[in-house]
Amino acid sequence: MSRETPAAGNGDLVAGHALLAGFRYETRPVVRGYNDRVLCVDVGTLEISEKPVPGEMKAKFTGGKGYGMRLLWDAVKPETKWNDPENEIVIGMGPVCGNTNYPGSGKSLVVSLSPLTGVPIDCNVGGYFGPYLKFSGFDALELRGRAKSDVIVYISGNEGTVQILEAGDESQDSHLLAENMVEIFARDEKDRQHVSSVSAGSGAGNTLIGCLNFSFYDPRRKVARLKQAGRGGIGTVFRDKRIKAVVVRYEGLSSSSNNPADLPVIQKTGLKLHREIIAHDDEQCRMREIGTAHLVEVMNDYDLLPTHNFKFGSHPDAGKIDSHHFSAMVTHGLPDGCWFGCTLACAKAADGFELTTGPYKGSKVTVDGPEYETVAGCGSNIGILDARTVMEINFYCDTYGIDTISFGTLTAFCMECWEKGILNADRTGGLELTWGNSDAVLEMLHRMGRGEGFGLTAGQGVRRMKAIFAREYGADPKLLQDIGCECKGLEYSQYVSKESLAQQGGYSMALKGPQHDEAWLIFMDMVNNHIPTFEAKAEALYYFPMFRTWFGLQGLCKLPWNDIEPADNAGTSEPAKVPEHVQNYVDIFNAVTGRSIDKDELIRQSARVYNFQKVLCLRMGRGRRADDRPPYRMMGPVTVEEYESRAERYDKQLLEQVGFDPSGRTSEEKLEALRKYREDRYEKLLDAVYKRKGWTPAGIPKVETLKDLGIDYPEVVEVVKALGG
Amino acid sequence: MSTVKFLKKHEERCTGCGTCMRTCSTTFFKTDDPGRSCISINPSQQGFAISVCDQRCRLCIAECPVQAITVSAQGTVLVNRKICVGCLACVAVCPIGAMKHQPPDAGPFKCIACGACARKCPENAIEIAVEEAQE
Amino acid sequence: MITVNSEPLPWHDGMTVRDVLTVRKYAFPLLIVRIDGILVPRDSYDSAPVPDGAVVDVVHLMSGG
Repeated sequence: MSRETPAAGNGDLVAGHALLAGFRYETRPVVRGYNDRVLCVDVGTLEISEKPVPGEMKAKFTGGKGYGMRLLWDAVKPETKWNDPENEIVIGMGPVCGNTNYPGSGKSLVVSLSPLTGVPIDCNVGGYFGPYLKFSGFDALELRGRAKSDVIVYISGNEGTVQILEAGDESQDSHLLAENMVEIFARDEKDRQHVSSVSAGSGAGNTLIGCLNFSFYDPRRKVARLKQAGRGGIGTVFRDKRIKAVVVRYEGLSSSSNNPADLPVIQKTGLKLHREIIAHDDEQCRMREIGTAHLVEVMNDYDLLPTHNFKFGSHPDAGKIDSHHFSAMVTHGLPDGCWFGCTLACAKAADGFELTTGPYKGSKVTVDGPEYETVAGCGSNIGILDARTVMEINFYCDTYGIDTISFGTLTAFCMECWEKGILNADRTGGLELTWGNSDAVLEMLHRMGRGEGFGLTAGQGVRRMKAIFAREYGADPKLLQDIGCECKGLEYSQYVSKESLAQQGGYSMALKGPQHDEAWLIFMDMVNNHIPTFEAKAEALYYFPMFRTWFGLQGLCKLPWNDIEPADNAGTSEPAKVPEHVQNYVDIFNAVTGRSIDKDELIRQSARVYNFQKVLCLRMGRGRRADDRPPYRMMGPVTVEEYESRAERYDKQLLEQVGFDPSGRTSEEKLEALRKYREDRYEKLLDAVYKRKGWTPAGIPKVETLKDLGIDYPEVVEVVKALGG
Repeated sequence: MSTVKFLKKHEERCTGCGTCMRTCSTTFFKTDDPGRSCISINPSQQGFAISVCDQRCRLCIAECPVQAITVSAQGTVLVNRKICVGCLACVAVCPIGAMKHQPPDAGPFKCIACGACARKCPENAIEIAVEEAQE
Repeated sequence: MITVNSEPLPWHDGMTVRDVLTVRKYAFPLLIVRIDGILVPRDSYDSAPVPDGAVVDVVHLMSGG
């Protein structure tokens, strides 16, 4: 815990920046995927320290997001707010993270109290920062405090030094800043791939929906590319701490950097998946060609593509933003992994894209993406059916440090408020927020970047806008609640969940807020009809969130699990789980750590962290049953317009499922009957899922559940006991 | 005008004696192990098939995330072990299995058209050739 | 009449798996098709016949973010 004099003394310059504090640590190899050491940087007090990871923490929290939750719990108090200095941003990796053989192994897990929700948010992000930090000697980085003025934190992983530097007049916007950090900290052209930064653009500080950009230098494009820790406003916390960038430099990566217990198993398992991807991706998901954007046309076909603030699930002009338009814009034939060894290579980018608006108008830039979520959120959901405009929004969101998902969903909400007369040009400062008005949307985005006018209002997110519109403009709070697509304060991601009760639960019960990474059950529920009962839905809402949580404990990406499947997957007993890939994960975990878990222990590793996170939400005064209820727009048709657009479907359901004869009834009457039925079923779903998870009907984990998982620590039990758990 | 230097095959002359594989693995790995030979010989309907990098397709070069695979001045595809991070994507993408790997080696290996095997082949079934690269 | 994912669908002479997928707009690439419990390989959707009265399962796997 010693604080030593840095390599250079105070008053010295490092890469042209004044040195504020320095710290030297002993470099040593990773052992079986772990350093058992955490780096703590307080940018307020300028204290830098390291601390060991206790054995109990390693045993119960595994790594990555698990470490993030444990460290955040210890850092905050029940009354801590997102912008208190003690709120931390924890970047955790995980034991499997950084191996170069198994596709999707380079993820960092970022945890903080969210400005939008007040509870922990967690993001799974690519780029080189996390693995380089791990091989520099740390399983996690805790960032805390608030600097007096902007600082840069620099970790020199081969030398074993950490420095806090005074930031200069570098541009804050990430496409320039990430480039700048590479120029400053790389020794020469060849060294650029050894430098990675975390930053957040100008918009992150002006809104509550700020994201973090993790860089990865692309030696072919000769540009520092960006992946986003998008959800929940961690970029906003970062800027509130007045951190301009956190930079790591590390060279010497190899397939044995983790010093795994059994390297051949990792190599063979990775090679098997590489081969599967090379052989089948073209005919399966085309991830190597266009990434997750392949889903745009699929979702439109299944009436799941959010359109006009989630009113509808398809758009007649959706073909104008389908994957082929984006495929025509991106550069093909390059190894587009966001970490080494990811042959799924879904990190697509368009090069030489000429911007037509904003501060960088006329510049030709590389645009990372767009991913499915961005196309849906910043395309169909706001009525923009133009692929070029979606790219431009994508670029500016990223460089400003703004989450494209929240931006899309909150813009859609504003547009519906415009349509309903709640917003008008006086109230938006002249922005005509009609469906599909690209100019207005881009101008609103630039106002977020500049911190001006309605950009500041919209940047507060849907939940705060609802309160403002009710208070200032006399809008009907019930209507705002119905059409404002947020839960727990976080904007929904981009799937229409109306016809899948299980997905309504998957979204709205997700601990951090409605992001689909806990569960995506729409096909299983709505199309396959495989989980018809409440019990079956509850089982799916137990297994999949637990399974998917595990990626975040390890530093893994979810996509290579089920966006590619083995040739014989169809013949297995549970193809939706992709059993061969689950076994791969068990095998590589064991091969890295030298342990011998099975697929049940994999779920238990997740269940510990999941329940701990749930109790942390409760400790922060949230996470109750009421917090798990969606706005009705995500459950069914709110308006007559929506009902009548799918009248045949709804009439049939009323007759066959609700027992309500729709003939001769008005649309209003039918809406009401359908709503009552669906809301009732949602409550029954909550009962079933809570029961399956070992929680009380109020959504509180029972003490016996915590005991069974071995996380019945006094401070944890105390929280649930006070709430009847 | 760039050239390609490669191991030219005359499969009709091959008798499957395996001298080339022994020569390759003992030259580069100091062991007589067919798994550590850049060239492999397998029975085929016509007799024997010789499998070795043709130095032309270059899919491995495009796939390498760290640009560790390059073409030498003579026109041979080489793996730079100092840069390689061992991901083995090149092994998976090679359509003929000529980019090889033996666990737990750090990275892959392949034919560099050194000619050692050709000099030892008793049937002259392989030879070093230099041809113009096709555009 | 046949049953597709628990819902009825009119049958016609010469109906193939591809016809079922087209009518139902099942455009997703990761599908598993079973006719009366028997797995139909992906490369034979164009030709595999669907008999009248068949129970067809078109299982959509998951994908995406």
